[in-house]
Amino acid sequence: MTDVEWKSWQSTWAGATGPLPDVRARAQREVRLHRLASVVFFLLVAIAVAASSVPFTDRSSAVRSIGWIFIAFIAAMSIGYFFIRRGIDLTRNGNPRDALGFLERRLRFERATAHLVRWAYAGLCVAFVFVFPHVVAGHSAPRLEMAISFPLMFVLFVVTFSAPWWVARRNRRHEEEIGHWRQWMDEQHL
Amino acid sequence: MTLDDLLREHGPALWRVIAGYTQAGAERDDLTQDVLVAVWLALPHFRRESSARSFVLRIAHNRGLSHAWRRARLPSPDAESVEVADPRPGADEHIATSERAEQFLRHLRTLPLGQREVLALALEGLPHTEIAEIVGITAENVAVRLSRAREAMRRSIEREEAA
Repeated sequence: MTDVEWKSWQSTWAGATGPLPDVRARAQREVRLHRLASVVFFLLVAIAVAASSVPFTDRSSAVRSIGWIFIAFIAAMSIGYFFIRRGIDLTRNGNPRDALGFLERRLRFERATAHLVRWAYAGLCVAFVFVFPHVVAGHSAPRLEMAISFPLMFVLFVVTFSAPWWVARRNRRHEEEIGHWRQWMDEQHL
Repeated sequence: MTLDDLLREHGPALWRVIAGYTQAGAERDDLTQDVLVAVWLALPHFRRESSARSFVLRIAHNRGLSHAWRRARLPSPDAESVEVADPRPGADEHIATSERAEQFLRHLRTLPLGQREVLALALEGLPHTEIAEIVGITAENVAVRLSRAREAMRRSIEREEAA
C-alpha cells in the first residue's frame, strides 16, 4: 500500500465524526444503584450480627457455639461478597478474552473445590464413624442418636463424594458455551 | 481531568472507533452511551499509567468487542443489513456530509474484529506499540494484523468499485 493511499484513508477516516450523547444522568443513576446495593448489604449484615448476639446470652455452651457458627457464616458471606465484587470490578471494562479467561479460571476453581470437598468430607465422615460411638457412649440413648446421625452422615458423604461428578455435569453447558465463544473469536481473528 | 476535557480532546476518535463496530442508528447510540458511561465510571481510577487517548480508546475497544460478542448471540444474522434511521434533529444532514466516511466505515465493518480493531486504531494515528497495549497483543502481531487488514479493506473497496 502506498503512503498516498494510506493518507487518503486516514483523511476519510478523520472525516467521520458525530454527536456524543450526554450520559451523566445515566452514569449517576448507575453509581447511585451501586451505592444503594452496598448500603442494603451492610444493613443486612448489621441486622444479622445483632441477631447472632442473642445466643451469647445463654449459659449453655452448645447454644453459644451456634452464635459462633452464625458469625462465621456471616464473615464468610461478607468476605465472599467482597471477592466477587472485586472480581466484577476488575473485568468491568474487560473484553471477551478477559471474560473467557475469567470463566475458565472459575470453572477450574470449581472443579478443584469439588475435589477438595470430596476428600475433606470423606475424611470427616470416616473420623465421625470412629469417634461418634465413643462420644455418645455415656448418653441415655446412644443407639437412637447413632440411628439418627449415621444415615444423615451417609447422605452427607454421598452428596459430597459425588461433588466432582455433579459439578462437572452442571459445568458442561458452560464449557460448551466457552467452546462456542472460542470458535467465534478464532473466526474474528481475535 | 474531567469527562468534558477527555471528550473535547478525544471525542471524535472515540466516536470513530465506536462507529467501526456498529452502523448508524439506535445500536450505535446504545454502544456510544455504554462506552461513555464506562469512561465516566472508570475516570476516577485512571492513574495516568498510559495516555488519556489509550485509556478512552481501550474502553471503547473493549466495549465494542463485548457488544459484537453479545450481538453474535442474537438469532438474526442479517441484523447488520438493517438500516435504522437516526431520529436526532440534524442527523440526516450530518450523515449526508459524511457519506464517504460512512461508506468507508461500512467497508471497515466487513473485516474480522481482530483486523478491524487494529486498522481503526492505526487510522487514528496510534503507533504499533500503543495499539499493542490497547488490544493486548504484541507489536509484531499488530504489524501482521494491520497488513492483512489493509489488504482485506482494499479488496472490499475494489469489489464495490468494480460492481
